[in-house]
This record gives sequence, C-alpha cells and structure tokens, in this order.
Amino acid sequence: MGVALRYVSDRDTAGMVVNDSFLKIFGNLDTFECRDPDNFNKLLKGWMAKITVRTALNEIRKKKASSLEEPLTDEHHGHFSVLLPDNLHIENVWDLINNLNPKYRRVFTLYEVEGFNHEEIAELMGITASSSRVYLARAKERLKMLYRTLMV
Amino acid sequence: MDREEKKLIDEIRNGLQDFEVPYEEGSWEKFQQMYQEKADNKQRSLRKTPLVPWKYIAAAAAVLIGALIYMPWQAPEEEINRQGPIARKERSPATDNEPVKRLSEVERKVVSSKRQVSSGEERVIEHVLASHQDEVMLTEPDAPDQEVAPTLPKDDTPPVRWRELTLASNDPLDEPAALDSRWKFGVEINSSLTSDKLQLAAGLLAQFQVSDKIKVATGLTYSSFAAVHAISPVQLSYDTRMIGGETTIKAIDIPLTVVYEPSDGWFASVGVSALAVLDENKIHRMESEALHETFVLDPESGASVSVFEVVKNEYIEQSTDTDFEGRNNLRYLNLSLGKKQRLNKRTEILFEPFVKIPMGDLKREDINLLNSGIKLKLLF
Repeated sequence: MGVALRYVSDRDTAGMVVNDSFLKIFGNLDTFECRDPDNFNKLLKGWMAKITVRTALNEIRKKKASSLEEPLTDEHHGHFSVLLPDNLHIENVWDLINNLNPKYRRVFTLYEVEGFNHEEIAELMGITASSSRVYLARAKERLKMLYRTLMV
Repeated sequence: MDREEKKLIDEIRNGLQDFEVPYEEGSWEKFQQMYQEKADNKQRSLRKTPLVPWKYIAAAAAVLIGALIYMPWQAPEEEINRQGPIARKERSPATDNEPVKRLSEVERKVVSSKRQVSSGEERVIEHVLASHQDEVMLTEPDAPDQEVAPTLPKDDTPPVRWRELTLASNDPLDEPAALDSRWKFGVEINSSLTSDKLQLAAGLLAQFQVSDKIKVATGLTYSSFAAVHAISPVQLSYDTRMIGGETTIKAIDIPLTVVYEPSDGWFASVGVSALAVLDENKIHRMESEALHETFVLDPESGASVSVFEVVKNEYIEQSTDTDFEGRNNLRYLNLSLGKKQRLNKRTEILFEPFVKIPMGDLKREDINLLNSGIKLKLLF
C-alpha cells in the first residue's frame, strides 16, 4: 500500500492497485527466482514492489486515457504540521511529495526511491530519458524550496 | 549536490521506504472474494469465448474429410435393389430339381469370367458379395460342396467365395458407377448487387452427396464487385472535401457449403467462403469549391458590376492505400434457397437466389459489402 501511495494520492485507487498487484503476484509467483536465499525477504519485497509500481503506473495511464489525469499544478500550498530538527516526520515527507507536480513526483520516486535509471523511467512513463532528467532536477529544486519554506 | 539536498533526499527516501500502511480489518477477506470472483469470471469467459468461426470451419472440414475417407462405401439403396433381381435370378436354379448340375454350369461361367476381371474389380465384387452373403448361403442350401468341387480349378478360395463371385460377375461395373454418381461437377455464374452496378461472377463447382438430403459443395469463383464508401464528408482543406469513395475488388471466392434438400427440387444452403483479393482499386470522390467572379452590366446605370458565386466541382482521386488487398481474414457467410431442374439423366440446372454477409475484415462500417443476387448453376 505504501508503494502504491507513492504514485497515486487517492487511497481507494491505491487499494485497487494493491489488489491488482497481488493478483499479478499470485498469478506469477512461479516466475519469481531467488538467487540469494539469505536475502529472500528483501528480494521478494523488491519484486513485489516493482510489480506494484508498474501496476500503479498502468492505472495512471488508464486514468489518463479516460481524461482523469491528475491536475498539473506548480503551485505550492503545502502546510507542514510538524518539523523535527534532525529528520522529517513521515507526514511531512508525504506533504512534500504530494505538493509536487505529479510527473515530477513519479520521476523522483522512481529514480530516488525505486532505483530505476532514466532509460527505464522513460519506458515506464512513456517519456524521453532527457525529459526524465529534467523532471528529476525540477523535482529536487521544488523539494528544496519547499523544505526551506518549511524550515523558516 | 549540496549536503542540504542530499540530506533532504535521503530523508524522503527513507521515509517513503519505511512507510507502511497498517493492515485494515477485512482487507484480506475482500481481496480473497475479489480474487475468487475474478478467477470465476476468467473461467467463465474461457468457457464462453466463442471460437473464431475459422476454427469451426477447420473442424467441419476435418470432419468432412474424415467422413469422406472413412465412410463405408456402400452402394445406395437403389443400386442394391437393382442387384436384387440378379441374386434372385441366381437363386431360382437352386430351388430346381437339379441344383448341383445347374450350379456347376454357373460356376464354370464364373471361372472363365474371373480370369478377365482385374484385381480392383475383384475387390468391388467381393464387397458387393459380402453384403449378399446371406442370400448366397441360402441360394444353395442343399448343394453339397463335394459335388461342386470337381468343377472348380485348384484354388485355396473357399467354395462359398466362388458362389459369391457367381453373382457378382454378372454386373461388376455397377458399384464404381454408384460411387461416381455421388460427385457432381459444374459451372456457375451469378449476378449480384453491391452498388448500383450489376456485378457478374463465374466459377467452377464440385458437389458431394453425403446422404439423400445432405450435400456438401465447394468451388472456385472469380468475381469483380464494387462497394460504395458510406462516409460523412471530410473537409480536407478550406476549399476541398472528400464526399465519398468506391472500392472495386477482383477476388477469388472459395466457398464451403452444406446443402439441405428436403424435397426433390427445392433446397437451402448455408456456408462460409474465404475471399482472396487479387486486385483492389480504391477511389475517393472529392468536391472542391471555387469562387468565380463574373461581370454583369447594371441595366439601370449601365455600369459593370462584379458578381461572385461559388462553383462546386466534383472529381475522382485515386487512393494509394487499399482496405482489403493482402488481408487473409476476409470471409462471407453465404445463405441461399434454390430450385433444381433436371435437364437430362446427368445434367441439372439450379436457380439459386443468395445473400452474402461479410464477416471478419470484410465486415466494415464504412464499406458495405453485403450483396445479394441470383446464381445459375449447371451440374453434370
């Protein structure tokens, strides 16, 4: 659910993505190969996360097709409830992420959290690799700006 | 990347990776129910998914070929009846007062005739006699084999077999003729309407009689037909628009038809045919508008006045693309009713109104290829 929520803000849609992901996971469990039994849990979790990411992106694509794209906005009207001196509270993290333009958010999450490279992101999102680089740079700029605002 | 940015990204990454949503009560049950429903639906859809008609056609063709190959080739009833009197003719001497003598005479006749028949004919003869074996056995119930034996040449064939040949040798060519009569070949021409033009087609036919009422027919028909494009006008530029089009197709039609003939003369048929498009010519009908200026003299003032009018001009433009050529999923569903008229012993003429309903890639919303007409067939 946590993985799905990185890509879709709507909790119901995220729940649907999780269900669909588990359908795929159960349906393709025989294709999962664990070459390192010591890290079985980590590898399985990573494999499941990748399926969830792809399912979430497919869901976004489907919504785009039916003209239900998330509104694109560069406005930052984030309100940060809690500020911890050394590390951010998870709610603040979500606030930061949710205040990003959806495209920037997806690229940032895919690159920084999931570990995909720009070519893979380009393929997953149907954009060019250079666009992915630009989106990532902009996402970081926005996050920094938001963070500074938060710190003030 | 400065330290501040790195720290921020690390915190976001860690926050997102560690983030977990607590399990909500009943989620697993909901998922299980959904999973079961999806699995059931998938199973149901697999069962309900209609097979592509080609699979039915392939299955029907396989059954047909199998039936033709393994069908027990028995003579039609009338052939058997025709042989009946022969058997009875041979049976009557057996009831005479001198059965042995008469039988010997017949057998001598068979010995000489047997030497003339080929091995192929022998097989047919044996088959016919096999079906008359009971009758033959009854023919000479009292004729002892020992008395017959001296008249026969040295042969391992049992005496009964010789008696069978006795009957068969009288008409050895009847059975192959019966087999041939099940096949009929012929020619057909048909006229149909797909647009305002009359289309003509011609071809060859082969028909096989499966039973008294069921026949299977196939063939090869060359046809050339045109279809009008039913499209809304499309504005291509400020002064030009496409108002329609027409496709002319030259094709080979290969039908597979089942004919049901409930009463003598009248029949109905249903079948499918595959269309191989040899040539396709597609044209677009275009309309352009031009502003024409003409000068007229004002009758009152005598001055020259410009009058503008829009002149519409229709023309045809050849299309570079094709809709059907090169495609292999072009099929028709063929339905017809007809009347058969016998011209002579071997020749029949058939009048057959038909309708051809496009299927597969032939079924298009913008091009109506439904056509109907009448076929004239000549079967030999």
